[in-house]
Amino acid sequence: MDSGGSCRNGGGHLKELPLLSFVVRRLLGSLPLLVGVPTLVFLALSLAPGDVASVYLRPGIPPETVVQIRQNLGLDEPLHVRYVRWLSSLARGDLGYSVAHGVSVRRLLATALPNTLLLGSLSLGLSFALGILTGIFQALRPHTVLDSFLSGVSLFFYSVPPFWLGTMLVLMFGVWLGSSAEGLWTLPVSGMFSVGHEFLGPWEKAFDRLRHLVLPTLTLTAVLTGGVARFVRAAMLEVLGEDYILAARARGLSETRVVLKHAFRNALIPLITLGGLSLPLLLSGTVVVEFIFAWPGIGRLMVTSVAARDIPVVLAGTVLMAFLVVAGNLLADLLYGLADPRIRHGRPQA
Amino acid sequence: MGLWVGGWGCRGEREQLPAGYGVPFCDSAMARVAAFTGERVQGRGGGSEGGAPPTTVVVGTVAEMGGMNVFGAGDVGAVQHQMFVNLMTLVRYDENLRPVPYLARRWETREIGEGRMELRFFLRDDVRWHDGTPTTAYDVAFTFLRATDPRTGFPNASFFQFYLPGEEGVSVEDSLTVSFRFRPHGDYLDPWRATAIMPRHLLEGVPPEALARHPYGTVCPVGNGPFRFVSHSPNDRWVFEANPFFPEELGGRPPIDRYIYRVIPDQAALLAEFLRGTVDVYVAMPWGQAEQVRGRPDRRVVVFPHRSVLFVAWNTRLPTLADRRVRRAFTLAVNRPLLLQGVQGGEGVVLNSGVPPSHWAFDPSLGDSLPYDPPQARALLESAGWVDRNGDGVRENQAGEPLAVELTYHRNQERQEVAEILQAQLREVGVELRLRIMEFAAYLQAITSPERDFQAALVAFETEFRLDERDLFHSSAAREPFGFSGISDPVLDRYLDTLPLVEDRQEGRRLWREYQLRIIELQPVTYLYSAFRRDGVTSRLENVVLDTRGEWVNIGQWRVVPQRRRSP
Repeated sequence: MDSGGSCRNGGGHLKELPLLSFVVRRLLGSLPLLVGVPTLVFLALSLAPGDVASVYLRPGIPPETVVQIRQNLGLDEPLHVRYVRWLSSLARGDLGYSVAHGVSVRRLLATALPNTLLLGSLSLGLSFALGILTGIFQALRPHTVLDSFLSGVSLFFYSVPPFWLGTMLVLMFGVWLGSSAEGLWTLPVSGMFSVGHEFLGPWEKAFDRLRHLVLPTLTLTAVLTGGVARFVRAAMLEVLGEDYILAARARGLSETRVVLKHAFRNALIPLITLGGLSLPLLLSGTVVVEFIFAWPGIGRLMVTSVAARDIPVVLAGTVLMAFLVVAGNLLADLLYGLADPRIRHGRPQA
Repeated sequence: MGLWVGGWGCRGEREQLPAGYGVPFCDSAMARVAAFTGERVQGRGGGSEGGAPPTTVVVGTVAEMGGMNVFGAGDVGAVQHQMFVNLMTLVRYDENLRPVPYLARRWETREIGEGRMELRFFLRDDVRWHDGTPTTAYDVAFTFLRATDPRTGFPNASFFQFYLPGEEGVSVEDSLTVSFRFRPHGDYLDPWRATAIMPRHLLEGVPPEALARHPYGTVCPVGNGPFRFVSHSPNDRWVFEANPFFPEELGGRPPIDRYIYRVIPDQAALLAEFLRGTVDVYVAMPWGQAEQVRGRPDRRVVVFPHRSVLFVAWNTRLPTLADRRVRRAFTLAVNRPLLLQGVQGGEGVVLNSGVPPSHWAFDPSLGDSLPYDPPQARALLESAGWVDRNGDGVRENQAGEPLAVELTYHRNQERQEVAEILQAQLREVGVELRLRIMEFAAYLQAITSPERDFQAALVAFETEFRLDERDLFHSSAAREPFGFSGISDPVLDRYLDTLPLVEDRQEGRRLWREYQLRIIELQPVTYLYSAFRRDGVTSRLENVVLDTRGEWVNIGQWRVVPQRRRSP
């Protein structure tokens, strides 16, 4: 709830600014973050032991060949030269080349990003929807057996490591509940589509993709929903105890109207903050799930790239994540205005 | 189906073009394949017939492969796809590891004076690149010239170390005849077994220093092998389809229509897919999983000797490990058969040298050279001055320094188990083995950098068919990346200088045996074992040969049981 309060203050300060100006200033203010974070990552990876040329190391390789490979990859240049070169390439929209994957970084991201966004946004959307419903449901029946039960379930899924849950789902749906790919209870446990999907019709393709989404989405959603539900429950309980809720009920408003229009709307501010902060999870939160379910997304790409010291890929991914952090916060700020009429960025003042 | 190419964007891969390319490389290359395939398929009828769904075979592995660019991708999966799937080599090995013709119809050698030999290859005239261009001697010469050009940075340049490099070493006599000149040495055909031929007409204009990073290998490979490239989704899958124009004499069009290489990094998920039948071949199955698969009627686990070698490298630059008695004692203290049993279910061979069982110089009689013998290990340590002086179970030298060695390794399940067993067994003879787990890149840096930031390291190799251990044990290589142990011994040097040049295998076996005995005596490393490879195969597949040559060696002849063609 603190975050909500501070946001209100921030919103008050921002009342003076027209919306566009506000957005532009926020983006400009984020530039240090967008450049600073990748710079730190660049330094950390460059100073860490090992580099991507180790991909080529094997017995029998002549020392002069190792030197030539490093030269061909530009790894023989001083750190600051490589950094400036990366920055200038980035400014031109050139993200560089991935030695570990043998393709351009742009191509890698273009392939992986939509996959992660699909999985991440679906899971995030579902977990917020389910979490909000569960949280409201619990807040309306506080301290009942059902509330305790749902709290226990939420806490369980919030505490469960995604790798364990994912592996259990793989075993359950991949092995125990079905021994063939066509079994009723059998869901795909890896990849984004079936073998031969390109020979399917459009609807069959969509259904095939949906089936592949079930288990990874379930894993991510289960883990995220618990947190959202507990957050909403706490916020709603606090709001439901306020005087204006009592006044609304005294005026004879329906319970649905009291809950949704008066209570939930006021509980929404901290939830928006949570939503904004969760946006980077679209990329970072899927790492383990992508690994377990062989989902070819950004998270997996980042892990393999860090291990291989494939700096251009890691940097591009970091820039993306930093951008999502900025975008998430900006979006939250803008949504505050929608949720709370007292906060309107850029609204002409009377 | 033969008309569909490209998939994930061969079109539009513009940013990787070396300077001077007017037309986007991959657009052009794949358009040529499409044009050729389209024309010819109409004429001959390729792919599955009658509109039936294509017969697809899926091979699942945990690791992505590097691609079809010989000059840039050298991982095990990539090399096998270059040799057996998408490209062709001049020769290949038969099941007895003897060279047999492949792209080359035949070859001959002759002495040309000045201590040199000439090797002349006569190429097949019926092999075409997948875009329709004939494969010729000019492609072979191009591959050789680039491989031996230092600017290329070809990681396997040592394959051709006895060949005269550059123009001096090769001449094209006509479009189907090419000859090479080299210093006489053993296994002189092996480089042509291991190096697939690259398309000159596509890559000639690429500067050598840009070849390794060229998009050809991962975005638009145009090969000449039994399967042609369809699409590649990084970290997910490679899709290939049967090449209908593969020479009949070499098996003709493969019986399976499509072949998919799938990357499933989590072994539990990979096993689940294999058990469900959505993966037909599971490459490199861990022993524990193999036990789960065995006994199932429709699955089998194929176990075969592999070229992997696992050993502990002792850093002999350190005073404690400079004494060969100490190193021998360490080896004697390790119950390697038990180790192999515990970690690999006994599926492998205990080694006393780096010669794996698949190599012609492997000598089984050396297996008992340093048997498990804790009393002798204790005696050796005592003779070297290491005695437990304070009764804490760990030996000390006269200065009171404990006999403690740090074992560096990067974590995977096998290494972790091996490290823990070694720690327990060495403890029995009063040696404290401390375990130091590192992330892979940092581990590699620690053991290969000139600083040699390790005392002992657990190292796994996949050896080549042509074995050459100079960079491991030659004194001149002690400062090079793979000179882990830093051993310097004139006797070893002499063997290492001589062995690669020996042409006669009988003489070679004798020298290899003497060399291995010297290694056993010096113990710069403690060889542990060569684990067999385990691959899972579904009963849906027939005629699958899996042996030490690799998983894909006869993929062109794999068949699917007619009743079990996969429906999409």
